[in-house]
Amino acid sequence: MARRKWVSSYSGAILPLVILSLWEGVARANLLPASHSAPPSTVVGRFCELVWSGVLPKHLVYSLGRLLGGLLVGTIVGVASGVLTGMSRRADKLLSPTVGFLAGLPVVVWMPFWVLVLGSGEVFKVGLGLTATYFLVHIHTFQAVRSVGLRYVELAEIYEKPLHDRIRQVLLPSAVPSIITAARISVAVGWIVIFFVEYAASQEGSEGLGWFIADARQIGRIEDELAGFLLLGVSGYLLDCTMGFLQRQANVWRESLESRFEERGGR
Amino acid sequence: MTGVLSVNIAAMRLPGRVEGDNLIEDLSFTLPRGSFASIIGPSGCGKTTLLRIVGGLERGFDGQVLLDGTPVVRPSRRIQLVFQDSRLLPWKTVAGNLRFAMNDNQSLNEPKIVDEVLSVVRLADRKDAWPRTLSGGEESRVALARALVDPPRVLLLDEPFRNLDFVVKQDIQADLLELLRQQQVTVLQVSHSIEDAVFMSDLVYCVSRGPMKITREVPVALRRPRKRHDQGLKAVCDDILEHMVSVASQKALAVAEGGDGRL
Repeated sequence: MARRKWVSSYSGAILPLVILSLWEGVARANLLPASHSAPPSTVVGRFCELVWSGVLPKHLVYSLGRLLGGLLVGTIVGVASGVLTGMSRRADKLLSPTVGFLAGLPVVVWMPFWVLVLGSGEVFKVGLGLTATYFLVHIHTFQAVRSVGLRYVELAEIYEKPLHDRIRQVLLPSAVPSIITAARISVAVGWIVIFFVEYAASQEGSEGLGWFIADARQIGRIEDELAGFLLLGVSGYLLDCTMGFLQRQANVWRESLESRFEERGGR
Repeated sequence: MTGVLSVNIAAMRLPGRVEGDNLIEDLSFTLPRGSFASIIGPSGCGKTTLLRIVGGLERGFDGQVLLDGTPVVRPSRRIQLVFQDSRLLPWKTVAGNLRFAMNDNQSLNEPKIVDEVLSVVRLADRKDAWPRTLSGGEESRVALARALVDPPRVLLLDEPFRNLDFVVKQDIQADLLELLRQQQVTVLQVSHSIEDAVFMSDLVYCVSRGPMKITREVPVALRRPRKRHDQGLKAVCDDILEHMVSVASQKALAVAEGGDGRL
């Protein structure tokens, strides 16, 4: 029983280990060009050196700061506009066509606009992260508010709840699972966008994982480049785990397959 | 004097129905303060809609509902409705749902009030439970407790004891009656159980469907506390049952003869 639980807990590591073993074998057998590949063991060694020396943590902090800054502002503004358009037909008619049009534009299209408005510094990168978050959160919040059961709205009317209490105690709790789902997707999209901006639009002496990887590629340090990718992937995975944890917490009151898995210990 | 409820509905038509096809027609009654009245009638006849009208949740009708002489035009704490489907907020625990019903002045005594009302419905040990973990009967009891947190002037009950087992139901009904009587709350209950209605009420209204009308008003002048096996209570129940069966038969006959079933 204990062995079965151990296997179940670590089953997610099997596939990466198989891939890494194959990669190690292929690299050691010199089947890949050395300029484009290095064995995982060498990459992990270099990764540890770069972490220990503080180089990778410094770049990670910059990238995370940009992502979380955009996520925070985008979520706050997205929730506010989503609640407003969800509750008010007038606000919906006024704002939704514009928001709908802008939401359809790919994030990269926003780059020239943000450069024009915010310049090409830190705020520009945070602005792009914000763009990746805002529309998703707005749309999910709007839909969640519109889907709140009339039965709960009537209950708030009976207990004469003022507007702020209706939002705080009825609309938002009902919408939070959708908002966190949107934020979770935004983190994934935002991480890609931040990497892209750092990779493509940074100058000499910049910071961020994207810049570190681009620089390593330019000067032909393949171990550094792959160590950067390793950190990028691990950070993305940990961010997703954190959002998944928040999502489970937000859904704790719901009767769902998730709650059944939790009650049965992950089976 | 507060808590006098006066209902006067000339016509209530559901959206999409043609003119004259009313759900409720010419229905009026007045309940004195602290009285307990029940409405007995067939399924789908409009009993729940009547409670929604009285609670200020329905506006499209000809007539008016007065509480202490003032028209009821919107929902308020003064008239609370215990819905058939409980309507607990699923993202709040049992205690959280009760706190939701508290008024601004009750916040200092929150824990005490929660414990008190939960003990009335025999759920003192479930205050931290999520609604999804409650049984149907427990949900109904929490909904009832929520209505007692800030006692209203008028309490509307839509089959509140439907999911309760017999023993729990008897216990709760006795305590509830005592509490409502102390607070002088006027109660209008919808029930499918003639026995429950007679056991609890001072007055029972029998209603028919298509459109809903009061076909008989039965005062229950039995001494309290009542006992379910009391012969007097059984006699009233039998009388009401006989009347309901007779109305249903007449309606069926009227429909069979090609009419619209109106009596």
